[in-house]
Amino acid sequence: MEKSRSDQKLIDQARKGNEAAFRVLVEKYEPLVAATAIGMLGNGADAEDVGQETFIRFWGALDRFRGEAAVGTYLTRIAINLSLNALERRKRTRGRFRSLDAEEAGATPAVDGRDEEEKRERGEWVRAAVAELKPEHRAVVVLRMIDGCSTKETAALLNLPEGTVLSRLYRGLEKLKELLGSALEDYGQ
Amino acid sequence: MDNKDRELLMRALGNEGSAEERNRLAELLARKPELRAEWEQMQQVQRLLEDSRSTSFRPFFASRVMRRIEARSRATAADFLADGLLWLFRPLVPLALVLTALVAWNNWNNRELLAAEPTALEVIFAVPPTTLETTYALDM
Repeated sequence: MEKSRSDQKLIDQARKGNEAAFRVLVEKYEPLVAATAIGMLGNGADAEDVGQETFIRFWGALDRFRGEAAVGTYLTRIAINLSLNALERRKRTRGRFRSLDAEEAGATPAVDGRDEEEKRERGEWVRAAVAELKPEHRAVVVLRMIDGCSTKETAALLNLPEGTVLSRLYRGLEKLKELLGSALEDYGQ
Repeated sequence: MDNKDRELLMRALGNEGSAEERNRLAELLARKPELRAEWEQMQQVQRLLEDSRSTSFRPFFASRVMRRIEARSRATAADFLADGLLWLFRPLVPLALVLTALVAWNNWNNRELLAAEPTALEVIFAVPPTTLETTYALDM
């Protein structure tokens, strides 16, 4: 995630109260924030809330944003922290119930089709499997495998040593292998 | 598989690691079939995860964000006005209390101007007592 000169220009304009400039930033970084929030929380209202709150906090912090980190890195850090908080809240409020996502993880959709519907179903099913991971493993898997952060970036975002990131990634992937089961072999063919 | 092999595997999934590490991994994979099988499965999981990447929220996400920001900005402006009024009038509070006490003292001293048997509060605020008779008189 590199710093961009056009981002800096948009930030300068947004600081002066230009909401249209900020809107351009929201549209530009929506895919990145969506990948993090939906990867962590599934495709539901919680993820949308985290997405909105991420940009609202960024708006509130514009005066303090000095540009040492790239905008993408900054937003990912906010999104991952808010997602972890949301998971903690979810654990407290829904502790007694299995999430819908988890129930969906049991069903294995067809994985060898090529149309959009099957791709969408497969995506839902993979996200449901990711939702089964422990939050600390999930954060690493989402940042490394879905957001495409490097080990070093992931370690910096989560304030962890690189070795811990790699071991959590391994454990997360092992668990996913188990959850994704036989469909994984079909997908590989 | 030891921790070093695991780290090597995980770094290789992200195309990280030096040329020396990549050579070492190739050598390990050639030597250990169980490691090769694991490596292939990990790559499949990686592909599935990459394919499951969601890159957007519901349509008009940016509009929803901007509406919330505008609402927050309006709330901030109202807070700013309230803070300004507070800052302006707070120093006048002691003076206002002194004036209120003076008026109350004056009303108390002139209580005989009110009708018979007013309550203490009616005296302090100089409010004529409200009885059925006075109401009837007002109505006339």
